[in-house]
Amino acid sequence: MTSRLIVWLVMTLSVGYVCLRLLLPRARTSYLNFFTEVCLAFGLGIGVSSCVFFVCLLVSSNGSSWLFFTEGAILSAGSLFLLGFSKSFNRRSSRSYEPATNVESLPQLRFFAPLVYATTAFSLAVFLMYSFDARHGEYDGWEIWNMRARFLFRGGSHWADGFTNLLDYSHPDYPLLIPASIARSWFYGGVETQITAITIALAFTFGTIALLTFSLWQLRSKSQGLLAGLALVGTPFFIIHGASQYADVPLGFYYLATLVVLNLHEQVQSGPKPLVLAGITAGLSAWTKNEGVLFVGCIVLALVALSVASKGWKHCLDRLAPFCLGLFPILAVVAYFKITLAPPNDMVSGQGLAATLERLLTLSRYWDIGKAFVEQLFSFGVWHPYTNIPLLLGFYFLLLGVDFSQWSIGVGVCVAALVLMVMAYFMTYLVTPRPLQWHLMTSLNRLCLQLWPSFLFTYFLIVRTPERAMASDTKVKPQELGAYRQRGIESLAVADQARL
Amino acid sequence: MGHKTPLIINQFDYPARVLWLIHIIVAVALLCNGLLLKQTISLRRANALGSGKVSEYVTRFEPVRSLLPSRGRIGYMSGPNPEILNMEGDEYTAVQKEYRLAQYALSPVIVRPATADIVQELPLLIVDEYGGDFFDAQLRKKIVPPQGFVLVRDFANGLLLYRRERL
Repeated sequence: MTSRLIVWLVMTLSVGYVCLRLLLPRARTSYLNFFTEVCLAFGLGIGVSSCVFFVCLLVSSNGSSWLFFTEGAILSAGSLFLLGFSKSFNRRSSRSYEPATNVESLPQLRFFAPLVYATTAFSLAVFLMYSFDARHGEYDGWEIWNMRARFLFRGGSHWADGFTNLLDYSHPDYPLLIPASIARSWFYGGVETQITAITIALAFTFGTIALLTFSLWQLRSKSQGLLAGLALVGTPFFIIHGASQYADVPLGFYYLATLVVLNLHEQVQSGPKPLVLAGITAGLSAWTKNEGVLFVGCIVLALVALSVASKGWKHCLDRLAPFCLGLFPILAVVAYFKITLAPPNDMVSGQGLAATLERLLTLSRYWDIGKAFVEQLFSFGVWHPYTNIPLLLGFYFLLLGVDFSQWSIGVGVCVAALVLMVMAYFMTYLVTPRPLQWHLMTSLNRLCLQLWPSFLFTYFLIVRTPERAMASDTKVKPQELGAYRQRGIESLAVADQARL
Repeated sequence: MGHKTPLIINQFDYPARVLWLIHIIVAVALLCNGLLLKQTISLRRANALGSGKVSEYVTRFEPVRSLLPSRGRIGYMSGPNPEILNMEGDEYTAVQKEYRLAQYALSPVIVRPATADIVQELPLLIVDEYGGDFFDAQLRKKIVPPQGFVLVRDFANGLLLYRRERL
């Protein structure tokens, strides 16, 4: 079984890596690029192969033989293409990109990286302890995602039996990225084991932390990336919830991956292929949870609005077309599932003109939701009162300020998409047919968690890096250079004075 | 030679403030994770971490699953008068956790709560003597076998499988 599970892991990573290599140019710095790419490759591999698995089940009830054949074919074709045409392909379509580490790292922060790794090691220990004691995950973990995986794996030709309203409490309309990935791993392993479900949860949890850290390291600076990683690792709910095998952490991963790829594209400034990749990751968020469909709408809206506002309609179409090229195949799978298999969504079927209008016109609902949003902002992470990360980030923002020199359409898209997502979540609560307080109590902290990695990414894109903030301290006087020298940022201070 | 050492008050200038704040963020993140690790270890020692009950519960159903058909619907009851619980003041329906666990364990068959209105339509019935309110072993004696069903097997772990009698 172990060797077959290793094959599953290698196949997943390989499918993802081939997709990634075809769509994202290689960065020049090696190890930074390597970590970012491994994270993206895993997310892509899990997502794309779960779609392939679902299509194989549709084609044949004996999905396993089709699965091995199809994945083998995709991998072979992709690898051959990369091997045979890589030189001309890379020369023609894209150039390698460089990280934005054009600012010196502060020597005082040398201790920083080991501490981040130590903190991550603590989190890993917590994650493993939770996973060991709750192998099937917490409520939604076993009740929705693992149970659906059992239907897909055990059901044989009747794998679709689980999509019935008789199981409405387990949300049979939810999309299948997680269940299909788990069931696919069981097909590879030939046996049901919770090890793969735990592995997937582990990879998404720590993949999100790594993607956030290394992408910001590339796009801004080392200390900025490490700070972002620390803020995420220092969110207890993120670690515990990741171990509970809910789909909120994987969903947050795909939100983040989309924003990361869009910003890498801004840096590359050549070829539309990264936008195809961003379209795929956005589509995969819709294949993970229903909230992903909202995200697709928000990101498309943000892309269109900012592209048109900055460079006009032609530029907008140039960006939107490749994005949709990546998005539509995944959305087609989601749409097929929703139309042919999934029962109606309870949130949608619970709407009616009169009832919805009444909810929209009840002012107390606005107040209740707004109050809950503000409360959750500082508490969803299950922080200790004295270790509140959002509060510290507020101080950090006030002290370091905004770096307008780094502003780009990519950053604007991140901000706009997040604002739209918060508005969309607000509207969802406003029209929910379920009891409002109960709905807020049971889900708002998870919605905050879904957006948290993307928020941190956007926040640290906007806020000045410590290196730049100290370099641009305009109060530097020649007699104070000694103090700067002591802090190891002499070159930054001198450079800044020369610039002034 | 060298520069004049600034006063302590001057040393808390802008770069110092930035560095201090970074140090605080690092310390807080480390403290967060340290506290979480400590709490997790103590919860684990108290056997209160996660829902370990799920694994035990699911394992109990393994022998039942081998006797069930590969698809279809079966009934589940955790006492003589099982019912679907309604949450206070609203139509939203909740069912007992044990029923949901039974569904998880016995997938891909569809498990239905054996309420009075549908029990006679179900070909098979699982009775869970330890589910719901029946954790107390003494209460086992009070369970009334469902009418119209005959016992197929007592699994000797609190689970009994019944089959509907042919009329």
